[in-house]
Amino acid sequence: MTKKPLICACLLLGCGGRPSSWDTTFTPTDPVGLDNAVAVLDPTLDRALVLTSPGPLELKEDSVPIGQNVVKAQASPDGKRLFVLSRGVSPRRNPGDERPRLTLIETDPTPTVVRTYEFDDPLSGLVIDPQGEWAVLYVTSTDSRPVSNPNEILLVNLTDLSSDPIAMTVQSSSGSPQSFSFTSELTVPNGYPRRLLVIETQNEVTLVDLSSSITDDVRASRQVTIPMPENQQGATGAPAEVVSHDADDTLPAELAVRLQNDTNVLLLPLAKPPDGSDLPFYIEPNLVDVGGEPTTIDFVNTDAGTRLAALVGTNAALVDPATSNVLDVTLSKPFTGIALVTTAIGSATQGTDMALLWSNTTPTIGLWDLGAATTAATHGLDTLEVGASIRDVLDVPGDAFATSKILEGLSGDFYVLDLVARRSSPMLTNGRTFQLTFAPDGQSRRLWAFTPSGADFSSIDLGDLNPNELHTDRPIWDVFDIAQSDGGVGRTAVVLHQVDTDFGATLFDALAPDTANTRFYSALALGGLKHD
Amino acid sequence: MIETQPNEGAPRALERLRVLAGVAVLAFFATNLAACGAGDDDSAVPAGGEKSASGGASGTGQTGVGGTTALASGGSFENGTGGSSGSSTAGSTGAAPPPPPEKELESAYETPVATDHYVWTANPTTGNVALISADDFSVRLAQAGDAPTTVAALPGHDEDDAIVLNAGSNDATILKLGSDGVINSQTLTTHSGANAVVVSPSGKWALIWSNAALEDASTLDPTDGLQDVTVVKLDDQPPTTTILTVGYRPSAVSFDDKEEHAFFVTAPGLTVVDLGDAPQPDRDVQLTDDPVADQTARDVSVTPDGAYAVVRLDGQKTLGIVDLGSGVRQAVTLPDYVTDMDLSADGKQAFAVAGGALVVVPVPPGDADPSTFATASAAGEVGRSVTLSPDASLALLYSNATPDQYVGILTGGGDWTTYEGHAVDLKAPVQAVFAAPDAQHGIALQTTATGSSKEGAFSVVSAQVDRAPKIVGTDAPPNALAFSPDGAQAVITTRDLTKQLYGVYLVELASLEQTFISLSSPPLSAGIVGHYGFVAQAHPEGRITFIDLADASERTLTGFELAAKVTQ
Repeated sequence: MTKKPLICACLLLGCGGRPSSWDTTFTPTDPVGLDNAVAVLDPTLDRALVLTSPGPLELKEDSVPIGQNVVKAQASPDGKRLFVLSRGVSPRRNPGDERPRLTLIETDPTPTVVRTYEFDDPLSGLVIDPQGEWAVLYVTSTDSRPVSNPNEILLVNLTDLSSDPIAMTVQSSSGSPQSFSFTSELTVPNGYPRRLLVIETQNEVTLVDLSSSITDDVRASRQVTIPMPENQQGATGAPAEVVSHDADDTLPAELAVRLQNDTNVLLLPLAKPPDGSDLPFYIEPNLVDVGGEPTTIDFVNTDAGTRLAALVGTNAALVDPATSNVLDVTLSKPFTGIALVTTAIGSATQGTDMALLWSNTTPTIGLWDLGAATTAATHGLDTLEVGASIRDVLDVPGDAFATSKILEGLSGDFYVLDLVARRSSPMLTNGRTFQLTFAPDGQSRRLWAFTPSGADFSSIDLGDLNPNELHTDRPIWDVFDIAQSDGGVGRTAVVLHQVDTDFGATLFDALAPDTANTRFYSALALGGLKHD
Repeated sequence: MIETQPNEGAPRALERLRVLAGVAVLAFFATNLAACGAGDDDSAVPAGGEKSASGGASGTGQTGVGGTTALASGGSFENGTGGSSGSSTAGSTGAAPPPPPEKELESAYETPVATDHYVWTANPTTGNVALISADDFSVRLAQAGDAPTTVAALPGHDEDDAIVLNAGSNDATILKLGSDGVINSQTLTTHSGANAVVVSPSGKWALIWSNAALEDASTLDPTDGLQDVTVVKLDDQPPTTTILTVGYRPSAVSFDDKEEHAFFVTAPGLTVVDLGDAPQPDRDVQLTDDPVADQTARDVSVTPDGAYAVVRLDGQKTLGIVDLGSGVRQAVTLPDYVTDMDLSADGKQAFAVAGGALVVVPVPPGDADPSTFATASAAGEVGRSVTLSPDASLALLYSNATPDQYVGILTGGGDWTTYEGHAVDLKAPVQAVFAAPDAQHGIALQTTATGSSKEGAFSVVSAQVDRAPKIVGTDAPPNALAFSPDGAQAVITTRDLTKQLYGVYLVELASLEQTFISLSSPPLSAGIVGHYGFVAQAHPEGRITFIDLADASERTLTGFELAAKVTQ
């Protein structure tokens, strides 16, 4: 073995070979929270800084390589995986120039790239299946090329990391994908139950069969595309929302589409295909006028059977999918949102649903017992006044507070709703817009509320609803509640700070947060310094 | 608009029986029906309009007055009794003026059409024909030609078949739904401008023609004769077509029992087409003395055997019987103006309404003295129009030329020498009356009663003398009606385009009970398929509502046109 290379290496080191991070400006992307880690992407150095907490107030930093020109990073719904989509070098001029890629990182036991998917054309759209089985890469308006196929997508099977992405073109005559969603497993008349990928384009809904029993070629070729009908103004309809419901004793599995600026909803039963057909189902569209433009739709189980509920003004139109008959139920308030809380309340055994209704126009929420929707004088609705109109309703992760919901008010205040006690507890803020976050697994039993760029934040114990006021010395960038990576039950609250190029974190014990018991880490982009 | 058809020359009784098989009849009303005809004076209506509410009468055939007129060779009507040369108004000189003409509102609307298991409905915009199963409500779509407008069922086949007329491409499409679910189509070239299709009862022939009654006369050039007819021989494989010429502006067509001839009622008379192996016009027959003057108010029925045509003219007291073999015309003078006339299903009797009474005229009358013709009437009702049940055992007398809220119910049979009759007060002006296929009930569709807050009404009347009518006020005017084949149920649609009120009633005729079902779009037509009533509605994507005749449960399908656009 010659000694020349070793000498050269020693000389190089001796000439001051320091980490490149010291010579570049740290311009991170928004951090991504995982189950036991926080990832901050550093596109300048094509790396992900993955912060984990090996013990109380302990922070470990790992640098994981990612692709060049990152466009998006997203965690899997269970927080176990990080997906990083990058465009690579564009245009590629040398064989060694990096291709567009999707990098899949897992953090347990240590942050590691577990799979890299490379593809030819840069795609900047990424959607992860809520059940974690599929990912979709798609073209967005930022993917400008001389010649572009706006309907190009890549479907990634996340249950088999050895499989290659499935390239396909969304079957659309005039539009391009605007939204992707995944159904739960649906019973079909001809074949095994399967999930469907629902792609909404400007004027169509396309269904892609996700069954494992068909080949990828068949999956790509056997798309079902449903054009939207014209609305009452004669304009071509546009999908606004798609919901689904599995088959029951009397009804086939069904999808329903809410249409923009239209009083109709479109029912799409997965009907029996014609005799001799090998198709798993056959779409037989049926339009139903619900009497006004609905703000949202969902399938619900009522005392009269399965119905599609469409919230229209102060009414709910209950559509019988079998007959298209519509029963208008007066709700007295213009509710604009609906979420089924049947399982949370534990009333599923009755076979009918409980729904939480809220409104972005009136400070009232409703608990709707659909077991009395068509018979009782009150239609089963129990209303509760809250202090503000509601922007959104958040679930509390985990099982500890399954009956609690967080109501985000338009005014910045938020409310903790106990579905069983039917009690709403206001959490008044000082008028600033707070951000709310939970531990992904809910294990800390806490809700964290903070204002970006502020130094104060709060931890609310969901058991007694007492806010715990906390403080940091630096402006808050984001807050994460992560499991400690030592395998114990400890949890760490990671409060990130990013001021100019200084990237740091203040750590709290997430189970007993106390401003007097913290540890600050600075210069994380440069390797990190611990400050006790 | 009111679809009055003063020049309709259709053999209405036969036409109804053939096209609708005693199942579905439809009527269309405008919202201003009540205003129309108002102010006309009918001297036969008692002053003040007060009539007996339920006065009944039974009796024997009443003797009439007046004489039989025979048709001299050469073709002019002569006074049968005096033998002097007469005019077409013979017998009316010096008498009261004729009553205003009745409105023919029972005309059939040809789409959608039901076969054994399917409702067929065409969409002229998309060129699609939808087949909607009454078994499982599945929808199949077949591509027809350009602008399919008219669908007719093809009877006599095991399969559900239909023929579709494509207005935009001057052709027709025969659609056959095979047992394997596959729809096979054949395209036939037709003459230009066809707008109607009629299929013979056996399904052997289809006549594609241009119905002048469906055209806006004001837009037709005088030289638009609409005289071309395409004869389709359906039992040839593939079907063969022959284009023929008939008389000027045909308005009705029928077949004889043997399907050897077709009869086109035209403006000047009647064209007989010899079907045979090489269809061709056989002859033109003059129906009246003055075919030029008489064609605007003529009512022509051809007997099923094709032997005779029975002709009624508005404002005349005579009924013309024309031997289609010889061309000889015979005039039967009745005691009063003949305001309506229907033929029995077998064509052996013509039921004429004269002076408010029903006169049963044998066809041919031969030398029979009109004074011996059976006559029936219902005390309290001076009917001007008549509706017959298919077996001619129930005759419903009414009048719509002027507001009249009474219906005369006459039950007879055979030669009608004995009958029972009574009138019922239905409280709202009657526009049209329909007899159920089993002759046990009738339904009257009505306009708004004086002082009523309702927009219309319908009434169910029983042939039983001792049953009161069921009167139902409606929030929108009734516009279409269909009976179930056994006469047990009927569906009646209501429509108010201004108020956007739409609905359908399912009527149980035995109990006279009705169930109302609200519709969300304007009903166009109603019919029966299997054990469902159906209502086709105006909707850009197509809409139809099925109503279970047993329990009134309904199911609406909308957007079946959309199914054609689904790529799957």
